[in-house]
Amino acid sequence: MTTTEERVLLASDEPFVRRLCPHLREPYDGPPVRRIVTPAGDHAWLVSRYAEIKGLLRDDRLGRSHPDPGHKPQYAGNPTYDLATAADHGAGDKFHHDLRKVLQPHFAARHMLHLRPKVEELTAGLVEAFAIRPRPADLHAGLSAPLTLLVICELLGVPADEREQCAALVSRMGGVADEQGDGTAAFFGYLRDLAARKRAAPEDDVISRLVTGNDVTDEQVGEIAMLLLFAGIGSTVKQIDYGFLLLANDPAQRDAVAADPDLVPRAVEEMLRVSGSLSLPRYAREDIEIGGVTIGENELVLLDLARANMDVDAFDCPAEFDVGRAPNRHLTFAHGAWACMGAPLARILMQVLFTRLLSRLPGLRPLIPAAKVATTDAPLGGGLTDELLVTW
Amino acid sequence: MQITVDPGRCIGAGQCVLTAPDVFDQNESGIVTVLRPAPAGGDAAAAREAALVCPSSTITVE
Repeated sequence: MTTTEERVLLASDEPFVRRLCPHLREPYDGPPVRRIVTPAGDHAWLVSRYAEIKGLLRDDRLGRSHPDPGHKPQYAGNPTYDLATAADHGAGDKFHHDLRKVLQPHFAARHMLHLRPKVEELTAGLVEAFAIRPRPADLHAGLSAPLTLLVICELLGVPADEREQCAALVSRMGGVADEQGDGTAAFFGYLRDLAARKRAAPEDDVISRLVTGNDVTDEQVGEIAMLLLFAGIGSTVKQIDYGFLLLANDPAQRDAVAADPDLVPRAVEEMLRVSGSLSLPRYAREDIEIGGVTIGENELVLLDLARANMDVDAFDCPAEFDVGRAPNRHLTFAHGAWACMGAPLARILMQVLFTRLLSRLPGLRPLIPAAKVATTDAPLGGGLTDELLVTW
Repeated sequence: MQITVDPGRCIGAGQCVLTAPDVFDQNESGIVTVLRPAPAGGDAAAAREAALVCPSSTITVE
């Protein structure tokens, strides 16, 4: 039984400077599981070691449903993040399983390889437009965010002449300006109508295939499309920003990748490992004995993926940023039945973008030294503020 | 070179297909299948890399 309790953040929410700077990065050899108090003030179990997390991601005693969703313990007190998918475990599992089964073929690596030339074309266009901007320019708003949105729009099948409308709808969603949910409702309306149009005139895209190949309503397809956009955009944009800073902060490693573009795939994996990611809240469905503690039924379990990526038992010299690292079995995309379905697309997007940036804008760097770029420790903030000023 | 896979370990991440598309594929559930169990040349090098990047250590190259 652990008695020490402290209010802690997931490593992915700590200021990014702690993952960015070599002297602040810490190899992790601490306890596998400990009891904490979350930023929301609730109790939770924080799992931080690689082996335990990998095990729990394949353990069906842990899930995203909670029998009493109104009284479940919370991490951030955020209704979108601290969400139990269902009150009934069977219903929650069925929803998750069915959704993955429907979507898997559309995100399969083979399909993403076919999309690669299109991603290259979109990337080249945006990088060219970025290169003629006045300096300094904002990499986040000028490249990471619009590229990610463009690529996901392409995959879903948003017509080219509606992308700006789509971008405007996305920016209206969420945040304090959208507390009534008007922006979310408007975007859902757009996607539902798009599903109806694709049903009438299908093309080669995810929404068309969802409406023609499955017994689903336009509303359901609209919901699925919105889920994909939510899940895909924020996390991918952050990974691009993090990756850029990691490379910029280590000129020797950056030069090695620039000199040998074949290194880009491994470099991207290393960016993903060191950046880590936020995992969704999970709840124990029965008592689970792990790492010397007993996690009680219905308790909140937080899997600290970013910390596990620094586990001394899983990686050689984990605190080192090494663009040639192999193997590199990081947990940034989670694992097992929870492994990120968008991972192949995110990997291709990052590989294409960094290859392009290193050749087209070799002098690209943060306006101020990477280590001084504004970071934040707000829960769910990802450790980095939104603006990322660069010059070249 | 001889490639063997353990489909029971596979989590369907698709890293093998991205890395060595002429050697590996995925079935409709996302589980790995081997297109060419004894690749040569560039495909053999790609297959070795695929074994290294597979997140579930599903691929063995001998």
